[in-house]
Amino acid sequence: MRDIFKKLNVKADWWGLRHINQTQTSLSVRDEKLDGINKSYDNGVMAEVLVNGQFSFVATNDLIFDSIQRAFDKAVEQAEKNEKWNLYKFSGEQRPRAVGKYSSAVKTKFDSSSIYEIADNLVNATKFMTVSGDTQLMSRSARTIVSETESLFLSSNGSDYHQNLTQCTLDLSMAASLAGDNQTRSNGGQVGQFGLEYFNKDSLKKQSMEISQELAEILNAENCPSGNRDLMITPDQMYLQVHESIGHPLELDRILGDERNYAGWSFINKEDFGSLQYGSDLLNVTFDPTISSELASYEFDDTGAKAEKKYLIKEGKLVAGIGSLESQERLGVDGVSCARMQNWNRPPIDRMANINVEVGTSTMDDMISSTEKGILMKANKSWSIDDYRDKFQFGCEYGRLIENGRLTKVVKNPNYRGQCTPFWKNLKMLGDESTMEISGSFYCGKGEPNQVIRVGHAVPTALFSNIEVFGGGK
Amino acid sequence: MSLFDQIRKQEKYFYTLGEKVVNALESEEHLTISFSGEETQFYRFNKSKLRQATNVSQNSIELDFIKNKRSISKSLNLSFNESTDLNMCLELLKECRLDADNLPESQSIVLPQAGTDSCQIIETAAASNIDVTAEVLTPLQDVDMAGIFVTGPVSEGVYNSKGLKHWFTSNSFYFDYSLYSAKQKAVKNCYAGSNWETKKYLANIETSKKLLEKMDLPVVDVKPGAHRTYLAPGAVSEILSTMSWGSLSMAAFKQGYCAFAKLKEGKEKLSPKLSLQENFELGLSPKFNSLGEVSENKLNIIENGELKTLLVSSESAAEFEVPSNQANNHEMLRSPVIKPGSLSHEDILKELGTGLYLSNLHYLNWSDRMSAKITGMTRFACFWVEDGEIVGPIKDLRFDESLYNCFGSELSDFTKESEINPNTMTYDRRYIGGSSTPGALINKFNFTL
Repeated sequence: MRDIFKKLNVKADWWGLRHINQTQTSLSVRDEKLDGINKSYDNGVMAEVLVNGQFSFVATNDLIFDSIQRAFDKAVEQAEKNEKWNLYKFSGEQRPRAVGKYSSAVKTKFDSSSIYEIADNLVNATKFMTVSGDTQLMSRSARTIVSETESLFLSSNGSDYHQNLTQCTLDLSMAASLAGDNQTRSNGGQVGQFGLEYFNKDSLKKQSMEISQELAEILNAENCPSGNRDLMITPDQMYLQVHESIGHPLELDRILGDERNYAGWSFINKEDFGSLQYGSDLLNVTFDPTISSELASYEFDDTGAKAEKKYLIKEGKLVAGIGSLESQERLGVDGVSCARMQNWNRPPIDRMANINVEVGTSTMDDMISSTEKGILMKANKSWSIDDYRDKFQFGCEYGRLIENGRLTKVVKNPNYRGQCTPFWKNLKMLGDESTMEISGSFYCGKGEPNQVIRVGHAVPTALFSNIEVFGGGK
Repeated sequence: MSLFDQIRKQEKYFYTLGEKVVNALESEEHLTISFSGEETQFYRFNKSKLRQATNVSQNSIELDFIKNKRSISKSLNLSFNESTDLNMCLELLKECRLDADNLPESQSIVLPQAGTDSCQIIETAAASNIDVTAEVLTPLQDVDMAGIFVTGPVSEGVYNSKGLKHWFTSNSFYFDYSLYSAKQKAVKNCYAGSNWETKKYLANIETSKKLLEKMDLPVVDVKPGAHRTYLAPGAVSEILSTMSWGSLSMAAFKQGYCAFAKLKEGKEKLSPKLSLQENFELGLSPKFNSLGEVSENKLNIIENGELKTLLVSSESAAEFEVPSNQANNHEMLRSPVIKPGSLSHEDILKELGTGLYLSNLHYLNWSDRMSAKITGMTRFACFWVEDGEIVGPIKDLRFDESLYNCFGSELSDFTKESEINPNTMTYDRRYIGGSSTPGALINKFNFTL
């Protein structure tokens, strides 16, 4: 690809070529049998030009020189033709020179036979999902996606950035029925930049046995009570709370209105940066693409901006947004290196990468013992938030009441709802390192044309005061 | 070469390649090959200006290989260079064989079948004969608009080792947009079709601009609680999309995730005014699925409130020993139509009386699957109505309501008129298909926040 790039004749103020070659295996096992396996080889380029202040994109999976030259010609023509309608005239400083290499720091790399070992381990994991008594087992599932993405970014101002990402998911879940009620329990979905070591047979067996035990508990439990009480959420729910009610509202392209027609706007205004008290002073949130095992770690973003750790919320106060160099210039607000594209066939837009909450000082026991009337909720199963990212509602798989400083009875169908800043201002205690887990989402959707991106969240368990909780039922 | 000559050439190329790959099969091996291709022009707009222009040309095939009770899928991009593509396909076949020797047995096996071939190439111009940015943006310079314009051909094809051939190409456009008032209140609309017509476009945006004027009325702060509610066709379409996500799937029912499990078991009821069909006469999507199976033109799913069938793929049919209705492998709706009712469009506000008029809903999700309960938000042009008159736009509200209520005991009526909702999803690739939905008047709809 470097040879092709050198030979290109592009009449633009700046141009860049991103070649992405992604191999992804999706493997699903159900009830000890193969439920599906798909391996995709996806290989293409995005030709990007800057002409008279307008960035323009043309993508193709035809990788011969003539096709790539045609893609650049078309990109230039597209920019020139539409110059009159340009929203913002960019200078070219939004594409800094990026030179380097980045590879996921996996312990055991995947080879061509790794998937067979994983499949055997997943089959074994479903064997250990069990029920007893009158409970009817409905399904036992184990799924993984192993994604290996090699990308090369070359540009007219000397960028040469090569990246190898290995990103995986591991989901275990089971469903069962008792007395006409179906319930599900999962491992909460695990994601990260990890290798074969993560699919350890004993670890999977342990997780399967734990979810079997907790599924039995919720099938025999009462419905979650309604009313206000303190809420404690573990990382397998906390990550999505952070994602939806901190990550998305802080995206500068939302504030600029780019997303208004699809993903939505934000309740945050430009003037809020540096002044808005977003949460209690326990809340410290960072953009941190430097944690090696986290899903969205990298050295440069997809415009060539250097990836560095940065505070977004410091002691509860909003200090910076999730915005690329383009959005920072358009809005005049400090941002981060977050211009990311899903694949070779989509342009870069403002995306979360790793959005993390720094740990506090409380142990699980500290948080439980300090709670008079509360509830512990684990593992997300339902989520919804408005287009300004303000009014949210979440449901979890497993709930357990906290009464007079002790964990008491298990409850099913636990849900809670609230509004963004009042909720985060009610952050009462934050878990220490022992409660922290690296989590995230493989499927964060946004953008027109639509894009899904992989996002990491390293978060501790957290305790919030006086939150509206409720159970299921029509 | 014209666009459609080029597409016919792609079709021929796909079958020729398919035949060569099938000829390389060994005994007891079976193969289905599916094609997906597009040449799409995207224009993304903000503030009635161009934010990003992107052109995407992509073509791929998927090999679904069966051997030794194992079913294995592999996919790759297609370059239309015969030797390159054939060599890569043959390499994939080798990988499939290795996988079949080393992976566990599959849950179910559906062998390729012979059948009647089909080819549907809808030769329309889409927006190829206009200067899109000038045509779209010029009449919007007096208003703040955000949205996306998408145009170009999308093709799907299937070829299997029994020689079955299917091809479908549509060449269409849509302009999915929203207009914003100075008070940041918005109206959403979509102009879609197979041939651009300036008059229709101007009428579409004029309707939106008129509705936007009403958004400047003083905002009404409606308290949560149960309200009489009118859901416009766009809002009903959002609910239908969520219903498609696991409530009508046989696999979901058997595996314990089906939101209509109680309906299936006869423990809950829907309104006799609700009838839902898969209706391929809408013409928005091919009748064949990824296995090359052809659906009936119409399939009654819910008739007068009664569940007639769940969506059953051949994989589910084989596993659970029930008849297939040629659903796709995800058992999701592809071309759903909700039967219209008797409420006239002109009478909506009068029949609503006092309550909420909701044009659109946002971010729907199951909040309690066993109760078929959905939560989500109001979005865009939503109004408080008193005595049949619009009072003003509302602050967005969260709802949390069971389909057994809003499409059951609390469903007053559907409108006589329906709207076509084209599928505007573009994750990974451009989706095709769409739905037809009427508006719905609900006696009580539960708002929580």
